[in-house]
Amino acid sequence: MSRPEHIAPPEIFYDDVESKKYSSNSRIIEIQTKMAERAYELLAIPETAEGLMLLDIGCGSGISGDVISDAGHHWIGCDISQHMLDVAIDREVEGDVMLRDIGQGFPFRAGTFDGAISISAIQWLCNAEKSHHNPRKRLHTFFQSLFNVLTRGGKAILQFYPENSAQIEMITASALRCGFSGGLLIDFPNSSKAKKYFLVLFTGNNNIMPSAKGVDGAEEYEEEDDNEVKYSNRKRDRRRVTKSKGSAQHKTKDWIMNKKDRQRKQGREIKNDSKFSGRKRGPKF
Amino acid sequence: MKILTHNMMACTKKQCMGKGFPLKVECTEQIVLEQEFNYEFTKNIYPKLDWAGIAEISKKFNIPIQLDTTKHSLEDEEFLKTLHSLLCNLKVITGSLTCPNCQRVYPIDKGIPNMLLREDEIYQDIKE
Repeated sequence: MSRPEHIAPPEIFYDDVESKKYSSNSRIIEIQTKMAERAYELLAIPETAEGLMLLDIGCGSGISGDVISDAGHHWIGCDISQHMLDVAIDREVEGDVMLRDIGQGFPFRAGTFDGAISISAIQWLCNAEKSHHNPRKRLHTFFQSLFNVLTRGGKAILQFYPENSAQIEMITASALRCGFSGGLLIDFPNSSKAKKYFLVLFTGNNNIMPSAKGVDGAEEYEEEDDNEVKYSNRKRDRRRVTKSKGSAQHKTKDWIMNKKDRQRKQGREIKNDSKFSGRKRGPKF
Repeated sequence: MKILTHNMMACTKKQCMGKGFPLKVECTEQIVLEQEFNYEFTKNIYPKLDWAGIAEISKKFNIPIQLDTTKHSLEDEEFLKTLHSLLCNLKVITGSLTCPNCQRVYPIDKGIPNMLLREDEIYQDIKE
């Protein structure tokens, strides 16, 4: 899998072209919405609660924000890419967005937000994009600031794509050091495609970790991602069929003549054509 | 940027910790939205508001609102409606925000405040 954070820093990678994808590509929108819905579910906001104030970290074009708006809450989003935010403004999202590097912390007063969600953003913090960047320090600033802007009893659900176990450890350790309790939750741990990492963080202590989805592997097939696997399997099967059809035509007279021509053109030494070339042999005794 | 967001914001340079708000608003272009009054939201947000910030906005945009917090009542629907429309319906499109403590200016363009800090400003933070 290609990792965008290896290509360029976020404010450069999510340029005009890449940002437009986020408003037009239905597949991207679907995946982002699914993850945002799951993150919102993990926040476990009681159904009666309405009109809360949530923070969207790395909001991008506001796809995840729409999920919050639909649930009847207000949100403020931060992102480092100007182009992504322009897309968000064009889409007329309900929340407010601002340009901010989350590695510098959040520009809010303490205790402002009842919860926070983040979709595929915090792995960007693990890379040093500029000479003065120090990933550990930036993660520390990020979590410390996040802890401050959340109300006591607030929750943060951060979905991310870790590159390796060292990154997971760096992120989780940094969060716990800043006073959060909670831990990592992995949905569909046995599937390479549907597997999703969520960092579930609480500012208070008396919280129960929610349970992961698809741990026993049985539920997994309900996921959209796996439908896609089935589909690609079908495709592969079809490809196999056409290939075997190709091998049926294999070694007919036409095929042999073609091959001899090709090889002659390549300058190889080829036997002359005769009336016996490519002719069926008689029955064997 | 809605006034609600402005009310929550603060300057994050280290020397401004705890005193970098309310940010001073300069506004050259604004729009007025028409959002439905949301009682639950207004009630939830009320304890989190910074009244110094509200006072400033109320003066700046000439929207009269009861500023004496001892006289507020969450049963008074008229008051809540004014508060809600002040917070959610007024949107700054172009302008700037100034930190009252360090005088740093954050520009607002197309409704997006640019809160990025420069390298030297972060470095300043680390040193202190």
